[in-house]
Parts: sequence; structure tokens; C-alpha cells
Amino acid sequence: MSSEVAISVDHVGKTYRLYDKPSDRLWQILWGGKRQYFKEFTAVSDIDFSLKKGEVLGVVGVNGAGKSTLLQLIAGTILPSSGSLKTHGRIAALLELGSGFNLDFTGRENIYLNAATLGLNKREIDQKIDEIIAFADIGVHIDQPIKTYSSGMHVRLAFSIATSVDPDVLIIDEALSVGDGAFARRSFDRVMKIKERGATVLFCSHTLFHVEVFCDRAIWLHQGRVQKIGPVSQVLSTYQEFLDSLADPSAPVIASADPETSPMAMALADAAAAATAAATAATAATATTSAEPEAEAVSPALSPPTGHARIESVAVSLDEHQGQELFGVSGVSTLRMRIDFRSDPTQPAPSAALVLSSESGRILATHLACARGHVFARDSQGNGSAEIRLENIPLNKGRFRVGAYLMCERGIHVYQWIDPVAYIQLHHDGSDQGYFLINADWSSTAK
Amino acid sequence: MFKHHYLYWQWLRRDVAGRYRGSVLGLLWPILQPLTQIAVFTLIFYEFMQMRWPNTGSNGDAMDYGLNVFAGLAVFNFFAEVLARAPSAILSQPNLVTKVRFPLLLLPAVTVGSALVHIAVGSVSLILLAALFRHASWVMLWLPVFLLPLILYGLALALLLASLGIYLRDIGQVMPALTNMLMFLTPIFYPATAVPVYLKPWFELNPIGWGAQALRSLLLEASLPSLNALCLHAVASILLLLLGRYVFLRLEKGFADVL
Repeated sequence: MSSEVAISVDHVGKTYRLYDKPSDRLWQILWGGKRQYFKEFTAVSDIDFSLKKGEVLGVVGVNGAGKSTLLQLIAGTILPSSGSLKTHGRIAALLELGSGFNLDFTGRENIYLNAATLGLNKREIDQKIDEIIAFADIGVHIDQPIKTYSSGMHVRLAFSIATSVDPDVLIIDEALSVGDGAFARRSFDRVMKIKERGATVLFCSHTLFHVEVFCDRAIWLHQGRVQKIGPVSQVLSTYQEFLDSLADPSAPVIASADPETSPMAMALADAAAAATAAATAATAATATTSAEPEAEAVSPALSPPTGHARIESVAVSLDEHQGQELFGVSGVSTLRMRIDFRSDPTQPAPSAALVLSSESGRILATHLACARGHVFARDSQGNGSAEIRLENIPLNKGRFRVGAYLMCERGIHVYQWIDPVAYIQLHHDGSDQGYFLINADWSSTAK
Repeated sequence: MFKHHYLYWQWLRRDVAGRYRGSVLGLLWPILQPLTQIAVFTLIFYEFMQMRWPNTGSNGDAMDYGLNVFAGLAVFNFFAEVLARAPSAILSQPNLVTKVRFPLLLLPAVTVGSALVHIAVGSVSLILLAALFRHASWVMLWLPVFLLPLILYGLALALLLASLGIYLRDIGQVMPALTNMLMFLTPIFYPATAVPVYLKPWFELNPIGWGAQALRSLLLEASLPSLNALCLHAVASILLLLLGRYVFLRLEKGFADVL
């Protein structure tokens, strides 16, 4: 990779002026010297960093920290109010998909319109259109008005166009993949490919483990300022500490708490936070991506779930008792989880994680198969079964959640998750406090 | 601007085709719309109120009246559409402002481009009619030269309205009333000669009236209008366009903050 600078951000700040009415803004521009019509609000200030070509920067921070403002500044849609900012090359921002789509136009017409809007010229679009259509998997509907499309087709088409521009700089807000099922996996692969091709990437996400495995460096914004910037693992561990300190660990976190400030509450606040749970979880297991399992040789002919994988069934048992509410003894009982999965045999075998969390959703421990280099066995149709076994369960007394995540071979893209699969209630006779039962010995001598 | 010609073309197509696609008569509407207007005006003013067009080389019948109204409407409808649509040209595409890097100057220009359909329909129809029923004249070749200031005026107005419209939502509300007033204050269904002398200088300031008059003399009377006035309007329209561009570029920086 060359050491060329792709993005340089030099003491950039953005101050919004808050007006009561849009018209006040005009008066301010026209004769602002005489009177002030606004209140000031600083979204970001004194941001200073530069990215070399091919570097991948993660942007983290709680809601309102200025992440989106920073991305918009770099995308060039808003101008900094102080400092200066330079970017080199074509920028693609996965901030808003399908800008300018006209519902009465056919898919093909919208490709030309949208791709031109994103900065391609006619010759480039002509070259790429077949590939765009193929990737979006719209089929014969490409010559029908897009108002007849399902929302899934709409997203697929928009994503396909947005990522076809061969960007030098890619800006991703929140999700590494779009759509559902097979397309989610393919869109994720495409983002990976753009990254591997050497594009400079800015990735903003609450899904910390995505940031961890995807990025080289990270920047943590807090209240519009850079709290920390540096190698991704260092920044994330400090940030995680900060998140943990926000949520009082002694009080149970309630689902209605601000899902953005507390990673635990996010795990409870279902849907959107889904991946985050696995995410925050895997932050603990840092070693992740190093294991690159190889695809198995299988016949692609019999493959019902194309590009996708799903959990067929999952069962948790504690000391040979299976169920959803299980009882056992701390430090003694054996926990097992068995996942039956189906996958596309043409894709690398999926991986899975066991996630243990407190009743309130705080993640206590995770165990990711691919992080240990374990590649799941499966038959020629992609069906397989994996089991994890945890002896002498080291959790203290209390009620805990057991969750299952089926993920891609790198442990980034989540195909499907079920959390909780079961609750386990543990007890023991001791009086020790905390989440974990630690195995230690005291020794003493008389003076 | 020129380097974005393909993008401009795509958006113009989106705008024009998007409006007429799905309607039964489609692109016939830009022709039908003035025809209904002409029919009503001719009925009211020619028939009921006995208004006659002063001698313009023809016999001053209903056809003559209708054609003169047609020429006037071609220019007026162009401006009316710019006035009506320019204030929302950018307002209606907030994603292009906040989410993508897009040459926003293109959007008001698209509005002007698609409003030109009125002038195009009017000019082509009048040329055909002149060729069929009267004598076509070489003077008609001057038409593009006279249309240029009109387009520049339209562009200037569109830039001003599109950028101001983001800050002043009132503009969108004022336009219908203003358009209505302009329709009566411009010699469209009455000849410019009907304007009292003491008001004439004011009326001559109106570029719509000048454009309508130019179209009439070129296409209906086969006579070349004053070249002095042409130069005057050319200069005025260029100055106004520069002003519009200046205001637009000045205000553009704040678009994303408002939307």
C-alpha cells in the first residue's frame, strides 16, 4: 500500500447555528452584521487526523457524539465551519441509498439516473450496467417500473449501484450489509472486496466487534471532540470501559434505558441491537479474523439456501437436562449447546458463538468457534451440527441467558441469532458476590 | 456545468418523462394545455368583448387573435412554470443536498430545461402554421437569438427562487398569486398597443412581454423586432443571471444545514 494521504482532516470543526425559523437564516446571511439571529451548537470541534490510502478507520461514540457530522463532512455534503479538509479520489457514501430514484422509471433507467448522480459518466455506466443488474439479482423485472419492486429489490438495486462506482474512499454508516438472507451475505462480501482492493474506508458503527475486526485504526468521538484515536484495539477497550461506566452494573438495566448509551440495554432492545450483542460480545474475543477457514469441496447443485446460512435448531442443556429454564450448580454443572445449521455449500462453512449474558442483557462471556480456528464439519448439502461444551460452569449464582449466534467464517457477519435460547439458574452455598466464580487459593502464615 | 452534461440530461429526462409518464395523453399535454387556454381567451375576449388584434398583415379574425395569444402563452407558460417549480427544485430533493455530493446548480437548470417545452411547442406549432397558411420567412431564423435572453432570464429566476425558497418557505406560496397577476399585466391576450402611453415604459421592462412581442413579430408578422431592445435584454439577462448565480453560490453553503 502506498503511503499517499487519502483524507486529511485539519483541525476541523462544525458549528451549527440554530434558528427558530428558516427565514431567520436568510436574514443572518443578508445582514448578519447587525444582529444575531441564532444560537450556536457545536457538533464537532478540533478534529484532526489523516488517513493514508487503504487505511480503514472505525468511528465510534455514543449517539450525538458527532459521528454522522464527521462522516458528512468527509463525504463533502456539509462544509466545515473551521479548519480544512481534503479528500482524494472518488468517494462513495453508503449513507443514503437510491437518491433520486424515480418510482415510475424502470430499474434500468434508474441505474443510469442514480449512477450519474453518484458521479459516473455514460461510458462507465454502460460498462457496468450488466454487472449492476446481475448483482442486484432483479432478473427480468429490471425493465419494469421500480414502483412494482418489493422493498428488498429496491434495496438490492440501490446498494448494487452505490457500490459499483469503484470508490477510492468508502463511507459506511452503521451496517456492513444490507437486505436479508443471501443478499446480506453478498453485500457484506462486496464491502469486504472494496476494502481489500485498497480503498480507504470510514466505518461508523455501534457494533464494536465489527469495528474491531474491520478497521486498522479507530477514532472515539465524545461530545464532538476526539476522545481517543489510535490502533483499533486500544481505542475500543477504552471506549468499552467508558460504556461500562455509564451503566451502573449493580442496578439491573431496564430495556427502556437509552439503548445507545448502554451496550447491555442494547442487547435487550432487540432487533437493531441484535448484532451489537454478538458484537460487544466478541470484543472480548479479540483474536478473531486470523483464522481463515477454507471452503469445502462440495457440489453446488443441491443448495437450497444460496449464500445464506440459518439455524435449523438449537438446544441448550445443563447437566443432561434440556429445556428453556434450567437449574444447576455454580462451578459444577456442565452446559452444552448444540446448533444444527444449514448453509450454502458453495460458501465457506459458517461459524458460531455461544454468548452468556446477565438477565439484564449485559454480556458476560462469549465463545466464538472460528476465533479458535475451528471449522465446522458439514455434509455436501451444507448441513451440519456443532456442539459446545462448558464444564464446571464458572458463573456465580443467579439467572443467566444463553444465546446462540450463527456467523460467517470470519465471525463478522451474523446470519442468524437466537438470544436467549434458554435461561439457566445457578446456585451454590457460598456467599461470594459478582458474576463469576473464580478459582483461587488463599495461603497465610503467622508472623 | 458543462462537464455535468450527462448528469443534466439524465435529470432532465427524469423530470420531463416523470411528469408525463403514466398519464393517458402523455406528451400531448404541453400542446393541449395552451390550446384550451387559447380557446377560452378567444371565446371571452374576441367573441364576447370584441377585442381585435391591430393589423399585423392579416385580416384580424379569430384565427389571428388565437395565434397571437398562442405566441404570448408560449413565453408566459415558460416563465409561469419556472416561477411555480423553481422554489421547490432543491427543497424537494433533500437527499441530494445532505447525503450525496451533487452539483446542486443543476436542479434549477433542470426546471428551466423542462419548462422550455412550452416555448418549443409554441414555436414549432407557429412555424408550422405559418409555413402552411402564410408565407414562411427567413426572419424566423432569428428566433434562437431572441430566445436566448429568455432562457437566461428563466435561469436567473430559477437560481434565485430555488436558493431563496429553501430559507423562505413563503416563496412557494406567493408564486401562484404572482403568476396570476403577471398573466394580466403582460400583453398576452391583448396587444401591447392597448397599454396606455404613460404606463408603457413600465410594461416594456417586463421580459415576458418583450419575449411575447418578439415571438409574434418573428413568427406571425415576419418582421425583425428592434435589435436595440434585444441587446438591452441580452445584457440585462446576463447581469441578472450573474446575480442569480452569485446568490445561489452564496446561499448554497447553508442548504445542508437547513434541510
